[in-house]
Amino acid sequence: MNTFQQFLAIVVLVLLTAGCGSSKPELRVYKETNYIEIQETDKQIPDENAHDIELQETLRAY
Amino acid sequence: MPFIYKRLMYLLALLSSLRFAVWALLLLMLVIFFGTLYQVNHGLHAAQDNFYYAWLTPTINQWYTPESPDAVSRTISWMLVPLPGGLTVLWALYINLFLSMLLKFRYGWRQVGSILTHAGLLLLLAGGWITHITAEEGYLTLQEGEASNVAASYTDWEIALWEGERIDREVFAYSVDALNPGDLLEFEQVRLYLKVESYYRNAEAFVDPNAANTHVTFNVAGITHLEAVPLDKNPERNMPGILFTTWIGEGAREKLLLYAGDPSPVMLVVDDTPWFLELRRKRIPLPIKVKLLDFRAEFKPNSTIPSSFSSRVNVQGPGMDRQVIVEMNRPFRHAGFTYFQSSYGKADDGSEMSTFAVVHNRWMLAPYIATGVTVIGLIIHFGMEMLRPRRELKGDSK
Repeated sequence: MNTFQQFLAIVVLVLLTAGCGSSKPELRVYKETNYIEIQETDKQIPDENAHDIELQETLRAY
Repeated sequence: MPFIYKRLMYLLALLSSLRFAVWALLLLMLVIFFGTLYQVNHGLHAAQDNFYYAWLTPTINQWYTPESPDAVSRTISWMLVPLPGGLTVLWALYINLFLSMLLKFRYGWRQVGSILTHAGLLLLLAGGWITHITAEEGYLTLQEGEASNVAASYTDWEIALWEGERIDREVFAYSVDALNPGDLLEFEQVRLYLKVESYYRNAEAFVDPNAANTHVTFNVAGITHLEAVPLDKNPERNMPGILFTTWIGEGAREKLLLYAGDPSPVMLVVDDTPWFLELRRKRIPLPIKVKLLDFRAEFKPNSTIPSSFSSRVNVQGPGMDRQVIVEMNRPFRHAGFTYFQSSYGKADDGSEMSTFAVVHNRWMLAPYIATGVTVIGLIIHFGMEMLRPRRELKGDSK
């Protein structure tokens, strides 16, 4: 191996070692947008007992 | 000097050797084996944290509990020293591969296949590392008519501070996952200081002014003290809590207790302006604002089991304002973020809600590219070997 290769290898090892240090808590700043506009929409999710009612109606039909 | 130089050259030779690579691969096998055993009782997330994303694995006495001597713990009860964790072994392999390419390879046309194969493996390891430190996963739940530009993390938490109750607000936040007692969180905007006294990664809260460990604390729910409980197998169920000593400017020092289960933020009035402080799931800012216009679900006959469900959303961002349908197996991708239709529910007022799983990973393609480069390298390498004249091969064998 030549001197340049050796130098490059050592630089990489030092950088990797330095990158493994710990850090203190860092402050993050960001914009948060959250709002709701009430709108009338179709209701598709059945109530929890909806299938029981349907089942009873089916049984009654029989 | 020659002594140090000699030692350094020895170290480089060792780190770039094939023997080093073989030992590292054997250690990786062990880490995966023990990590899989650990996962049986502690869950996937704990196994990832303690084995695959760790510099050192835990020793057996750190995870063996005599009260529940399960078969897995007994099998490996001899493991008294920690192993190098996944991070250590993979970094060792990366350094080994990099140094061997730098110091040992002969570069020429004949080696193109081998060089490409090794470069592909380097890219695979580098991509894995960058994904590990930069990728984020969260969820976004919206009611019909609701819009938001932030997703919430499943597992990470933050201390967030904002002014007033506005639709658009600037939030100042500290991640709490790496907090230690003694750490100081500074919010210079209001000269508010929080010094960490105790940090519980998972806790239960109690309202009992007569308990021995009660502090005079300040919070909305009237919680007097916290007690640590073991981490849950499902990390999203952990409820962290933090006890602070806090002060504003040169004011008096008070105890402040923030708990993840407290539904309301703490209000502070600074110079006649209300500010809110909350321990909440870490927010992931999105490059777009997502508004749920309509949620649609189709159900199997006579049941509440969905056969398919989809959401019509409006996405608004720089140079973009359009409607998109997000449905099962058809996610929406934009600027490194992927939005999957994940779940649905009903709000208290009866309106429909839709939940999207949000994944942010700019290096999502790295494993595919790396594997492609490696495969091309192998094809070139073996192709060239097969096409080499027989005479040359005979010469090699002498």
